[in-house]
Amino acid sequence: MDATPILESLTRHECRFVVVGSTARSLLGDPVVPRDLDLVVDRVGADQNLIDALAEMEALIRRRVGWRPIRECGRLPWEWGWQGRTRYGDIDVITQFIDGATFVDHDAVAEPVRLASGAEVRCHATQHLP
Amino acid sequence: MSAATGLGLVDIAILEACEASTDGHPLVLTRTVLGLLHDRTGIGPRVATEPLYDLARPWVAHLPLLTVHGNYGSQDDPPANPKYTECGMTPLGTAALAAERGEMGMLPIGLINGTTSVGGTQPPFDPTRAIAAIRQAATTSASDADLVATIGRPAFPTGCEVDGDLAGLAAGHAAQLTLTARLDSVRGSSRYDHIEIRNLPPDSGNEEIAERIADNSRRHVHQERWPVHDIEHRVVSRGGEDYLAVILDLETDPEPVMALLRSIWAIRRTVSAQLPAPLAQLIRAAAADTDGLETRLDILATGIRSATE
Repeated sequence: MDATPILESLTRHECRFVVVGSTARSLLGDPVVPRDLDLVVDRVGADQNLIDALAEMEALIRRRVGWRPIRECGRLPWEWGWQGRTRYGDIDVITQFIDGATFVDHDAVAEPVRLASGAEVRCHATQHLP
Repeated sequence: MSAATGLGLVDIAILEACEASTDGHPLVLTRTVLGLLHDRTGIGPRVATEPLYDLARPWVAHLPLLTVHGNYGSQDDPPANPKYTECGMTPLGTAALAAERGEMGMLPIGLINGTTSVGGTQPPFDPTRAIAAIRQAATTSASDADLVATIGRPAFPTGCEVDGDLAGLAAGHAAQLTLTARLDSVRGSSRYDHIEIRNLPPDSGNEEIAERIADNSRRHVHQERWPVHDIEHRVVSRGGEDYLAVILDLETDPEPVMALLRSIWAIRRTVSAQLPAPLAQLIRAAAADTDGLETRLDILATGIRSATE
């Protein structure tokens, strides 16, 4: 997938996030083909920015009843995170991990990466469990 | 179903795999438990993941037998992949396996948790009332009618209203139950009154209900006045409970709207129910082994406390 349009939209809407997983490794130079986009997000004052950014891409959110447009979702499961789907690919929005790590922990060790558009995103090259 | 606990084979296998995987540790990756379950039984993760999470979900089981750390889903949202959650035994789950191994007497978990959550026909009962009925059967000369009155009508962990052929159910016959969300009309502090929808039937979620109300709005707008101004998802901050508030147009009588809402599937569901034997007979069977009964009833009560924590 090409995560660039998603990352640019998030940046434009002033979302605070760290890219992790395969997309982060790819952006940092690893020869890996990203399967999806994993984001650890900072929720402080930022929920609506993220929703607006994803709604711009007509994102769908995975609920028990199926994939629903993000604008039609009432309350999102922010406690741990949720899965989304855009026309550019699938995203995992993560607010905390089971080891307690949150945006703050990943941001502390993240590295900046400048996209072709000039926007800068922060990346932490984590390896998911196989 | 097991005579020792009333649990099914899959649930027992999951508990055994979890007990072996945790091996004295409080939690282990859920994926590890599912892997061991598959190695032992051939039941794969695709089949077993939801039943495993169900053993921990408070809206599914009155008495949780597992604890899960991480996203095990909700009535509206799917759970995380098992490689991103951890699980472990609750004390009641450990006791259930002890009962299965014959190390203690019968623990009637199946009578309380029921089987409707896995598509079966045995509805759940209120655990506190079930324990009281079992104790009554063991210590008094209560009649069958007394025992049935003590345990009460079926009670689902979501707290929905239950109605239907309760006498037929108690007699051991096939019966239809009607499960309905609780609707309360609230006088608004601002201009609008609203109806709060809580305690949904099992397998219903707020997202589904909001969508069905919106569907009804679209159908009614051309036929008759449908006085729903808006639908809001609200959260009770202290308890974390979320519910739907149906905002009504000005000067709307809420009663007809509540009647219309109760006609919407997901706010009201019907289920087929049947007990494996007459209810009083099940209660007496649970009370038959009086050796250590109070200890076992205390263990069940501990399970209630862990469910509410």
